[in-house]
Amino acid sequence: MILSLLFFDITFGFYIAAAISYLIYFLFKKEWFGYTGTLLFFIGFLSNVATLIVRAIEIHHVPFSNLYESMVFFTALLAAAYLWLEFRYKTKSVGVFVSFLIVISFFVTNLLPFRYKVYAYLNPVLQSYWLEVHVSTSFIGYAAFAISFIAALLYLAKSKWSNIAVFEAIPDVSSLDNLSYKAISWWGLPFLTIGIVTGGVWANITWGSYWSWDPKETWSLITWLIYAAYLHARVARGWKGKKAALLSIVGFLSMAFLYWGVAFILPGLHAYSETAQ
Amino acid sequence: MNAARVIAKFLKDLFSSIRFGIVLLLIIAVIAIVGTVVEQGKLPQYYDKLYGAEAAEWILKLSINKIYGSLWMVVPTVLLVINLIYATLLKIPSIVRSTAVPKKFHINPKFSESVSVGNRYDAIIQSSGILKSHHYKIYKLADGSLFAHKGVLSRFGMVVVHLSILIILLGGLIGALYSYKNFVNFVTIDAGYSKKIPEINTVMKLDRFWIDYWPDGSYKQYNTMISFIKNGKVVYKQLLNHDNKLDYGGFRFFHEYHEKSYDRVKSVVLLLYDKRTQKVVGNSITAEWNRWTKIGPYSVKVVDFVPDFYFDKVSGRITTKSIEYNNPAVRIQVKGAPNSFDWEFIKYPGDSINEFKGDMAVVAYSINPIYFVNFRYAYNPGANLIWFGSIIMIIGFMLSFYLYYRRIHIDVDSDAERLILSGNSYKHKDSFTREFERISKEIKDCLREET
Repeated sequence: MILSLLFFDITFGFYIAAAISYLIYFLFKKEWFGYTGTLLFFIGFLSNVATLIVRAIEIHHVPFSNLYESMVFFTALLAAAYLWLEFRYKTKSVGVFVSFLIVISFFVTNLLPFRYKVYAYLNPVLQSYWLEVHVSTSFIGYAAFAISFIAALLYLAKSKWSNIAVFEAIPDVSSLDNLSYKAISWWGLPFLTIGIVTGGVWANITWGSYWSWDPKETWSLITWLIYAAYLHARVARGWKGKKAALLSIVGFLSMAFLYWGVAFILPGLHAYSETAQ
Repeated sequence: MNAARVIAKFLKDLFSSIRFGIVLLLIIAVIAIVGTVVEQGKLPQYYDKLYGAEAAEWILKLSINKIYGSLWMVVPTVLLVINLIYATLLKIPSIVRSTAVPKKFHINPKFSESVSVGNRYDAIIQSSGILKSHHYKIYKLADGSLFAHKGVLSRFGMVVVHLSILIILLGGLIGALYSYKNFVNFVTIDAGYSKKIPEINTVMKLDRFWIDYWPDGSYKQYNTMISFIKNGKVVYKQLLNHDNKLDYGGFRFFHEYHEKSYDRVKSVVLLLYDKRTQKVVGNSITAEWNRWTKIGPYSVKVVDFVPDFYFDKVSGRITTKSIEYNNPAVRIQVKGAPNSFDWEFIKYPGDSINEFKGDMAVVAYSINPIYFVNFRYAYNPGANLIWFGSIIMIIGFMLSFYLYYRRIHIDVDSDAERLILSGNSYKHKDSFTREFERISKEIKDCLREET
C-alpha cells in the first residue's frame, strides 16, 4: 500500500464533505453549514498538504514530477488561495464553487491509470532543482488563474441572475470583477512568466535550446498572450465587467488546455510528463 | 490634407493604439495555436497522408508547416514591436511629467477630506510628519502647500515590461541569425573513439560511455568521459552528464541521444555451470565479440546477437522482432565441439536453445551493448540577452503590480480654517482608500490634540 494514496483518498473525502456543506449553506443559508464547510475544507487542505509531504518522503524528491502529483499540488495551492480569500473577504459563498472545482480535479486525478499513481524514479532530465522552481511557480500561476476564472463565472452569473435569492450571498459584482483582475495581475501572470522563464533556463541547460516551439511551450505563450491582452484591455482600455470576465474565462480555458490538453493530445518534449516525466 | 499626411496620420494613430496592440497579441496567439494543431516541420508526405493531397498542398503553399518562421508570425510580431516602441515612447513623457513635477491636483481628486485647523503653518508641519511615517516623499510647494507621493517606480513598470519584451525579442533575433549547432557521433565499440571538431580544430575523444540505472531499471544518468586533444596532447578532460555541463572552445556540449546496436554486442559476461553438481564453476569471464575466450575447459566465442529473440517457424531462422532489447539473446560457439552453438537468453540466465551437449553449460549472464552516442555542440549569442530581458520583465511586473503610485496634496483653504487633503492612486484604489482614511484620521487626531 502506498501511504500517499491513502492520504489522497482521505483528502478527497474531506473536500467532498466540504463541498456538500458549502452547497447546503449556499442554497439554504444555514450558517452552521457554512462554518462546517470551512472546517472540513481546512482539514481537507491540511490533508492535501500531508499527501504531498508523505509523497515527497516516499519518492525522495519534490512531489510534482508527473500529472498525478502536479494535480495534488495544484489543488493544495487552490485551496490555500481560497482559504486566504475567505479569511480576507469574510465570505463563504464562493466556497461551494472552489470546493467543487477541487472535487472535480480530484475526481479526474483519481481516474488516471494506476501507473501515474505509483511513484517512479526521476529520469536524468528531471533530476534538477529547476523542476522545483519551474513547476512550483507555474502552478502558483495556474491556481491564481483558477481563482480568477471562478470569480469571472460568478460575476457573469450574478450580473445575469441578480434577482435570484441564492446569489445574494455572493460578493457584489464589483468585488468579483476586482478579484478576477487581482488574481491575474498579482499572481497569475507574474508567476506564469517566471514559470516560462525558468522552463526556458532549464530547457537551455538540458537540451541547449531555451525555446523549441514544443506544444507545451507554445501553449504557455498562448496563455501568456491572452492574459497580457486581458491586462492591456483592462488597464489601458478600461475593460471591466462582462468583457473582462469573458477574456478571463478564455484565458483559463487556454491554461486548462496547456495543463491537460497538451499532455494527452499534442506530442512534444513534455509528453514524458504523463508518467515519470 | 494630402494623401501622404493622411497615411502618416493613420499609421501614427494605428501604432499608438493600445487596441491595435491587443489585437496583435491575440493574432499571434491564434497563429501559435495553428502551429500546435498542424505539426511543424514534417515531410510533405506526412501532411499528404494526414490531411489529403489538396489540404496538404495548401499547408505547404501557405507555409503552415513552418508557421513560426513564416510571415504569418513575423509580420504581426514586427507590427507588435513597432506598436510597443511607439506606444511606450508616447507614454513616457506623461509618466515623467506626472511623477517628476510636484503639483497641486485637488481639482477632481479621487479622494478628499477637509479638517478644521487653527494655525496653517503648524497644520502643514504636523501633516508632513504623518505622511513621512507612511513612507511618502514630501515636497513643499511655492504656495506653502504640501505634495507627497510614493511608489514612483511603479509608474515605470509598464515601460520596463515593454522594454524587456523588446530585449527578449532582440535576443531571439540574434539567436535566430547567429546561433550555431552541429552534431558528432561516436560508436562505443572502440575504446577512445575520436572525431575531429572542425570549428575549434580539436579532436574530441570519447573515453568511456556508461549508464547508471535506478533499482527498477530506469535511466538514472548518462555519463560520458570526454577528452579534447590538440596536437596529440590531451588539453582538457571532463565527465559529461546531467550534473556536469561541458563547455569547451566556446561551445556547450550536450548528450543528444544514444542507441544500442541491434546486431551485435561489445562483450558478454559468461558463467560456467556444471550440470552434474548444478553449481557455477569458477568466476565469470567477459568474452569479447567474435573473439575466442577461455572458460573452464572450453574456448568460446560470441558470434551472433538478437535484441528481441524470434524463431521463424516457416523459414526455420532465428531473427529479431524489433530493435528494442525486449528479449536479448546471444549465440555462443564452443570450440571443437560438434553442433557447438548455444542461444543464450540474457533475461533468463540458464534458459537456452542448447545444441551443445556437454557436462558443462556456458551461461550468458549479461551483455555490454555497443552504443551509438550522439552529441550536440552549440552556442547561442542571444541567450544571455533573453535571460537579461526575462529578469527585467519580472522586475517590471513587480513594479507594475506590487508597487502603487499614490499621491497626496495638503493645502489650507482661503479662509485658513480648513485643511484640504486630496489623494489619488493609480491602482488598487480600495487599499488606498483605507490608507487615505488612516492618514486623514491621524491628521485629525493630531490637530485635535494641538487645538
